[in-house]
Amino acid sequence: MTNDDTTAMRRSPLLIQLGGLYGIWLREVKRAIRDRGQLVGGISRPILWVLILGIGLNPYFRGEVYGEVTFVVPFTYLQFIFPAVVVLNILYTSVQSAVSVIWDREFGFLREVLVSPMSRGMVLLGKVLGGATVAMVHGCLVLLLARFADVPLTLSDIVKALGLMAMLAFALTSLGVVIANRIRSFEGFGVFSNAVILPLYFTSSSIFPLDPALTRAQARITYPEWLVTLVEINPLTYAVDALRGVLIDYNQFDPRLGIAVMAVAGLVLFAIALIDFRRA
Amino acid sequence: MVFQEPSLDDRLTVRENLELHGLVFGVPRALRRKRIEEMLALVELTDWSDKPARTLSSGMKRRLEIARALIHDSEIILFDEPTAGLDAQSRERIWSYVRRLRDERKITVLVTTHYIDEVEGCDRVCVVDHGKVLALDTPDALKRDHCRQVLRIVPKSDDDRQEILSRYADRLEGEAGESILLSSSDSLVEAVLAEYGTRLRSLSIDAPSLEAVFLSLTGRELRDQVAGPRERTLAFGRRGGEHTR
Repeated sequence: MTNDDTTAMRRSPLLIQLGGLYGIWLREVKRAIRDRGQLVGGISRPILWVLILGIGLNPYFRGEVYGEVTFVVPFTYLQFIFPAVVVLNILYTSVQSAVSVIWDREFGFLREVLVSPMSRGMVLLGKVLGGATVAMVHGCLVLLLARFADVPLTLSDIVKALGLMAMLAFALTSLGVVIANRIRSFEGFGVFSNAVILPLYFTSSSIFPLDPALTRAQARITYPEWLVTLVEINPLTYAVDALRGVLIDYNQFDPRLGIAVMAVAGLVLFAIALIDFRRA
Repeated sequence: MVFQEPSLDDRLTVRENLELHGLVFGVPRALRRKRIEEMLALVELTDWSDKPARTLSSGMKRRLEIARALIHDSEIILFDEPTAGLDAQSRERIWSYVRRLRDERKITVLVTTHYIDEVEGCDRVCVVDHGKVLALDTPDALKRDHCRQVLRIVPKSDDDRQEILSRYADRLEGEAGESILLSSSDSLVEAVLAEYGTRLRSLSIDAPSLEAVFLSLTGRELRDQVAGPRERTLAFGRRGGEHTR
C-alpha cells in the first residue's frame, strides 16, 4: 500500500482538479439521464409548443396592410416560435439542474465534495457544466423537430446554433444556481417554474414579435409601454433573437448584441454563484 | 469522513458512487479500480455493485459510505454516528469493520455516537455537551473519575440496618426503600461481606458504566428544539420531492 500512497501523492494538483471536475460533470449527466420526469418534460414540452401551439396559431400570425393579407414577419408562426422553443427547453432544464444544488446541500453530496481536495470553484464549474450539457441535449431534442416546423437547417446553422445554445445553457444554469443558493426552504419546483421561467420566457419576444415595421415610438403605442419595456430589458430577448437569426435568418436586434448579452450574463452570473458558493 | 446523514447519490449505482469519490479525491485510475474492489469486498457489497444506491437498505448504505471513505488514503477517518438508526446486526458489522481498519491500515478512527456502550473499546473518549468538552480520557479513567461504584445492600433486621448506617455514615449515598446505597470500592465490598454477610438479605454492586458517566456529566434533561427551514426542506425531500434523488 505504501507504493500506492506515493503515486497518489505525486499526482499534480491540476490533474486532480480536472479529474474531479470530470467526476462531478459525469454525475450531473448520469443523474439527469436517469430522471424520468425531467426527460418526459424535455420531450413533451417541445412537442406541445411546436406541434400544438405552433400549428394551432399558425393561420392567425399575419396582419393586414392596405387590405392585403401578409405575415407581419415574413415567416410562419411555427417558424417564428421554433427558436424560442429551443430556448424554452434549455431554460427549463438548466434551472431544473441548478435546483439540484438544494438537494445536494440537504442530502450530503455537497458536504462530501466540499471535504475533498476539490476547490469550490471547480465543484461549481463541474455542476454548472453538467447542468448546461443536459440542457444542451434537451435543446437538441427540439432541433430534431425542425423538419415539422419548416425550418431548413444546414450544418453551419447547426454548429452556430449549438455555440449559442451552449452559452445560453451556461448562463441559465448559473442563474439557477444563484437562485438556489439563496433559497433556504424549498418545497417544490413549481415556484421556479411560475416565478422565474415562464415570466422570463413570455417577456422575451419569444411567442410574439414586436412588429419590426413599427418604429420604437410606434411600438410603444401599439403595445402597452410596460410590455415593450419588459421585453427590451429582458436579457433573454437577445438570446432568443440571436438564435432566431441563426435558425431562420430573422433578427429584431443586432445579432452580436445577443452574443454579448449571453457572454456577459454567463460570466456575471457564474461569478455571483461562485461568491455565494464560497461563502456558504 | 463518514457523515451522519446519508450522503450517497441515490441515482448512481454503488460502484459509480465509489468512482465519483475516487475522482473527486484524485485517486489514480488503477489504484481506484483496485481499491473499489477491495472495499466492496470489505463491506460485503460486491454483489450489489451495479445496483442503484437507492435500492440499498439503510444498513447497506452506511456500509457503502464506509467503503467510500476508504477509497482514498487518509490518516484520520471521522465517523459521524456511523450506527445511528441501524439494527443490531448492522451495528455489529460496522464496528467489526472499524476495528479491522484500525488494525490493518494504521489510521486514527474518530467516532461520534449516541450509543454509549459502543465506545467501551475505544482508546480515548471525549464527552462534549453544547460544544464544550466536559471530559477527555480513557474509558477506564473516565469511569474511575466520574462515576463511583455503588454497593446496594438490604439488611435482614432493623438493628443491623442502624448499625450499618452509623458505621458507614461517611460513605452513605442514600436509601432507596429498604436498601442502603454506599459508595463503594472492592475493599469495602469485602469488608461488608466479611462482617455482615450472613445478615444481609441481598447485596448487589452497580458497576460504573460510560452511560452513567455521560449522564452524570451532562445531566438528565431532554433537549428539544424547533424544526428550522432546513428540517422542513429535508422532510419534503424524504417524502419524495420532485427532481430530488
